[in-house]
Amino acid sequence: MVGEILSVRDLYLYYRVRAGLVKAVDGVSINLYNDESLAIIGESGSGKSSLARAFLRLLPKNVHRFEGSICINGEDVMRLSDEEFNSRVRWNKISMVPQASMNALNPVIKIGEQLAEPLIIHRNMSKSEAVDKAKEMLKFVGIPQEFTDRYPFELSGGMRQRVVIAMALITQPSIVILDEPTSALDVLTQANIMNLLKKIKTDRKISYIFITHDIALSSEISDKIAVMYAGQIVEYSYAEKFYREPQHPYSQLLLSSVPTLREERTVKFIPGEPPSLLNPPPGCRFHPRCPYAMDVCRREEPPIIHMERGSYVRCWLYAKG
Amino acid sequence: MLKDEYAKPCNLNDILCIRGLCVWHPIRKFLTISGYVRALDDVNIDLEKGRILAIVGESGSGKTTLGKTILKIYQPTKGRIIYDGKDITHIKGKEIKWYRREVGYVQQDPYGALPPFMNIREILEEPLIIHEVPKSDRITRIRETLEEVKLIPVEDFINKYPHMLSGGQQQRVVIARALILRPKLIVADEPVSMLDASVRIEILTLFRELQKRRGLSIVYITHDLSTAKYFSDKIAVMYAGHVVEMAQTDKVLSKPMHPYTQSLIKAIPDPDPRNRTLFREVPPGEPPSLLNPPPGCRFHPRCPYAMDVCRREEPPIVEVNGVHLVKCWLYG
Repeated sequence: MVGEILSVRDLYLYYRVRAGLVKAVDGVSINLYNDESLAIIGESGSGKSSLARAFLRLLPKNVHRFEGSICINGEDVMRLSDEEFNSRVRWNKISMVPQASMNALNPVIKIGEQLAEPLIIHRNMSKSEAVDKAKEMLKFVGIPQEFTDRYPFELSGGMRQRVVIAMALITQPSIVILDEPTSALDVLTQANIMNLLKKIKTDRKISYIFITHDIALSSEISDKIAVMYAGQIVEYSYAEKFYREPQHPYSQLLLSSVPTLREERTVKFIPGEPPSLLNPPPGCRFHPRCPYAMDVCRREEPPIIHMERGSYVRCWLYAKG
Repeated sequence: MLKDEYAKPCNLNDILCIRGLCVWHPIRKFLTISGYVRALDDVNIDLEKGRILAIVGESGSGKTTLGKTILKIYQPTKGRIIYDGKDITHIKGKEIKWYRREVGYVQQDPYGALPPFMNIREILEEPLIIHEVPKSDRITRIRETLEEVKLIPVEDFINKYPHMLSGGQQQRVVIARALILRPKLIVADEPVSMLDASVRIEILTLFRELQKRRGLSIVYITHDLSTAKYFSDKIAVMYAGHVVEMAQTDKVLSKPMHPYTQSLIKAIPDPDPRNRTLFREVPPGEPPSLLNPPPGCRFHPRCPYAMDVCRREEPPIVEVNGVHLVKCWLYG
């Protein structure tokens, strides 16, 4: 479709472990148009980081099943060989700020040189050219020029986070995946980084895929929301709709567990534990915790119910007839 | 200097009253002391019996140091800590052992706080052995406490090892361990920051229940103002080793007085699709080094209202409307 930057159909990613198969991503479909940003929210162990790694094909050795289609700008990148994927897609079209990466900067390389590395590898630039580019990029993310020659330990947490964001942007990809980019930062630094991300989005026309378990924070940079539960997307919706009228019972409970500062309402928690991805419950995976669970939910997997503008919900409550 | 001017006497009914507390960690070079990290400077806290006090601050603000000083893990450099009408600043030996029974501790990271080679029964029995609870009573105590933290049915958990439990269940075990000696005060240091949103609410709801049922007083240390709103009666906001504001929770949140509290509240999002188009006002810069804090008010380099006096002199603690304490020249 025109203007569609990312389209994922029936993506599966299973890992093999001694105890069996871990169904980390189980039939995920999403689509994203130009300049749109998507937030993927879910509890820990719901498969959101696995989904992000699947987009970049950064997979561990024990993958059992990895199939489906991932189209970026209309091209199915799942058909590319590993070499082609690395030279044409990874960091050129889609890049990532991995979880806790600000603490994974190489301690013995100056930040300017580290930042230049993607350009040398993915754009075949000479080192001096790349370092010049890196200086520009540092300025863009709000780090003064003189920091180019410093080492990571000389920077504060917020500044290191700016460096890894710069690293994801330096090759000018059209999609940037942000995996919990602010989870280790203080409240004020977090607000600063979110401001920066919003500025980048308007300046550079970038689409973000923002992975977080913080529902309040997800509203900061998302046009669309995907709620993950036990390896599946149970609701895919637009921000305006999602924060006001969540459809899936899990989304409703998740939103009611968010403490709000300005609004007066009671907070509730979801009883029970999320299921194991090794052996998810039959039928709907949420049925053991769902207040509306019916007979059919225990037996059969719920269908995807499509709603307006490509949003959908995976729940028997919305099935007609 | 206006230091030590806040000398409001302690109320004898308070469970905890702290006056002028300083904790300075010396920096040693060879045999000399080259300086101090002023982790806490002139801290004053009052906590009434049966209430929850939230200590809110960023990392490095001294909130964990305050918690550990209350627990007598750190020895204060200056100042007094009055627990239940008794000065415990300099207690030793047997009295320390008594104090350890009175005050429980819930650590930040449940995954690291439980010994992996002991099962739940052994973990909970340990404090009972140390405090010489007779053997016949121990198992009933363990069962009661597990029921109290809702690890039921008890049989399913009592012989398990920590790695067999989820994060939320592990945190319940940590809470059970803090409760088993029947303390009157609990210091909970970021008890939910490692947990998922829904599990957070579950654990904090448990704290509220314990407070109501047992009349427990709780010091809840957190960086998250929005959970403090729901699960505390009183908030103390810390910045760079100082308590800059202290009042009832609703007062702090509805009428924040200190510029730091105001910016903290502005920086926290609520789930709202309108946030996407909004830029948040954030004070520039970073919290100061505690080795060499700025003169005057420690927030002045970042404060939008900074005046001349703020750069020169430390602000006094001002009581506004009798109940709202704020350490700021704007009100002095």
